[in-house]
Amino acid sequence: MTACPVVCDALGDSTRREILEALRRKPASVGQLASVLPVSRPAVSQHLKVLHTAGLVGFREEGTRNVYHLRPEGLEPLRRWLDEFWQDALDSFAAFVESQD
Amino acid sequence: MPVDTAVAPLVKTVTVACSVEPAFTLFTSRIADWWPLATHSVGGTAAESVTIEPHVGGRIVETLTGGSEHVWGTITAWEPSRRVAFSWHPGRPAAEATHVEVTFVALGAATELTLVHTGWQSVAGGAARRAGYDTGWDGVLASLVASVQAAERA
Repeated sequence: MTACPVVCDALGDSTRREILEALRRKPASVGQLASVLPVSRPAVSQHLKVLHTAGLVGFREEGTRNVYHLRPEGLEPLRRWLDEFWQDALDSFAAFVESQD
Repeated sequence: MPVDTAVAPLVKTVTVACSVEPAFTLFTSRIADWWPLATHSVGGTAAESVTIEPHVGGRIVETLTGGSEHVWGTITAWEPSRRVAFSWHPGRPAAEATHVEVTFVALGAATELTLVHTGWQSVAGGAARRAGYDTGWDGVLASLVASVQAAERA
């Protein structure tokens, strides 16, 4: 199997998943996220950087702050990965059936 | 890519060179002989076998060297030669399960097998949906990650 995409690594952290869950409800700034999550502002910033690199969040500048939002299309690599997962399994099954003749 | 496509069911088809009865039997009772366990398992190299218990309520179980087990899911529909469906949560709690259905349709002397993987919308946090900010992400995180990471752990 090909390696899990960057997006999967980005999601492999419970705090980052909490951030995404919070953003799923409503776009938010670093400060707003830090106020509802049990982590510091710098930690939130760090996590957002990872999520942004993975394409899972985007942001808009509003005055002096950035307001982050989800990018649903960021999930596409995961979906492709899952597609390959089942493709491999089904190909393996088809090959097995052939070998039974 | 649009949200609805990102969370739409995953559909895969494959045509295999036998009739529906053996296709169903080979797919289910002989899964240990064809499933790519080395790459598609929770235990990876420690994974020894995988079994489908052949009835509704039966489990899909990966057995590791040493005898411990990982349950991948539970059979929800069992119609020999036609259809098998199961919950799917390898490496994750059952509460984070998605759903897989496999149907077998005769295609001349061959069988067309269609696999549909759904449940992205129903898992984790549907209640948290807010009007005006429904991105379609409900459950996508938990379920996609469950499926991908479970397999990735191989």
